[in-house]
Amino acid sequence: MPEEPLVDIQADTADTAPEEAGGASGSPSTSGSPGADTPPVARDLEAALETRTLSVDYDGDTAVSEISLSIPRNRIVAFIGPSGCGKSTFLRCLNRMNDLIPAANVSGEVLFRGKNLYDSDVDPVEVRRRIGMVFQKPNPFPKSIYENVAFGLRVNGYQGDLEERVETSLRAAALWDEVKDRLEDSALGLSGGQQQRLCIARALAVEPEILLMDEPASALDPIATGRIEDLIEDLKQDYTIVIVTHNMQQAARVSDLTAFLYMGELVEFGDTDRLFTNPREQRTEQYITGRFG
Amino acid sequence: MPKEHFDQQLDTLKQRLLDMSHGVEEQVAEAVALATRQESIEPEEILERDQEIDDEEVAIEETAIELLALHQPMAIDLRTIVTILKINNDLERVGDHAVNIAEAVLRLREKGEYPPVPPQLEEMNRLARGILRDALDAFVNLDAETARQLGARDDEVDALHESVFRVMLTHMLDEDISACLQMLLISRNIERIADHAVNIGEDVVYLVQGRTIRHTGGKDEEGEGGGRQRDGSPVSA
Repeated sequence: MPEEPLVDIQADTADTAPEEAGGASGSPSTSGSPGADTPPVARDLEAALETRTLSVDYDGDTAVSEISLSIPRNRIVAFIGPSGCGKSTFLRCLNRMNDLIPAANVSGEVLFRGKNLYDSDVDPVEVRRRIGMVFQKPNPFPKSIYENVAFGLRVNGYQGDLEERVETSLRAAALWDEVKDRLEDSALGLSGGQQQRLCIARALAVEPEILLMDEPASALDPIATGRIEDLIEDLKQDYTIVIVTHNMQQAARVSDLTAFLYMGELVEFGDTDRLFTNPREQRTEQYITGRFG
Repeated sequence: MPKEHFDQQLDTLKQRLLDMSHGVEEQVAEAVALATRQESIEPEEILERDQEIDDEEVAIEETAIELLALHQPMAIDLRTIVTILKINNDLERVGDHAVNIAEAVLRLREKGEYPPVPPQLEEMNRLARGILRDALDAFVNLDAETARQLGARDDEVDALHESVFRVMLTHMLDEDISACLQMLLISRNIERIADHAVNIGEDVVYLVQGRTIRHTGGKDEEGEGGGRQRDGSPVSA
């Protein structure tokens, strides 16, 4: 895991993370309490990322409303909700991708190692290196397979063994065996599922701590989807993963914790097993049983 | 497939289970009537009807599995289908116990030796069938409170069964031992019917509240959980 600061963040702030929500139970809180000082959190788990009253509006139209929650380290957290509920907007806040959308106004805090990512002294490029992102549609560069993975390393001035890092990244993304004999071929010649795993390898190459995935398998067939889901499970050993998905079965299969968003609000957040079998909030129940509205 | 179709299929499945439960309840009533020599049908009829229950159990299970595979239901829908599968299995076993009672009566008839029917057996019959009926009513009405109380009522049935055991041991000194053993078997099967009814009650608690109370003496497996009725209203624990 990278130890260098996000510009001038304290060198080791992991244990300066805010006090987690009170109570003796070891299970996560299960309701979003917008505006609360104590975000829903898995209390016995170290937080990799935490939001506090995080809100986003697009030119005054609220997309995300005061969401406070904690994402535990080395866990997979899924965000579900109907189209337009704000889950992708929320995800993009976690590595400041919304900075690239001029109309987006973000307020509140995203705490990473105790540092608010939106502080003025934080370098958003470094944020995105530490918190990588994989998008809905595979978007390899029109370059060779090798160069796709090496690109981010070159941009970051990586001084180590490039070939070794490329291989390690491709192996981590479960793609190495399929491409090792054609690393110089164009990435655009790969199948959709392979392209998506290449994008994951590209994200992993710069050694992020957290991987954000926005509908990573929605453009893939069931076999490629299965491989991505297996990969996500494997990656949990080394990374914290936040995934946005329309596919509730996928959320149920791959995630440890699930958050349900509706109209920009966090309705419920808790253990995936429980949320999908016995949700506590009526709106969650209605959504996951298809009786919404 | 549209959601209404799923709801319709689920309602149909529930109705099939309830229809089957009526058949099973009837089987139990007829079997115990045979055992207490108040019969209105012959034991062979109970054996024949059991095949219909077995066939229906398989059909309900297949439909439930089909719904799981095609719709991948969640939350209350998932719990409903899982509960139907489990109750279906318990009802089939209750039907088997009715058959066991009928077979014991057949053996008694073959020997021509009838030991005296212990009075506790009548009470066991009343209690066990009451628990079964209330368990099924709790399923229909999503009544977790009634379902939770069935275990305590089953304790009474267990106590009566022990009492029958002692009575029949005494009878064995004077009566045909094999005939007394058949009467004990009948008592044992009634006691097991009550156990299955309690299982159904536990399944109803899971259905309504999402809580597992099996093997916990009626207490929750987890200290947490706030289940709700299907209409979303809170359920008090």
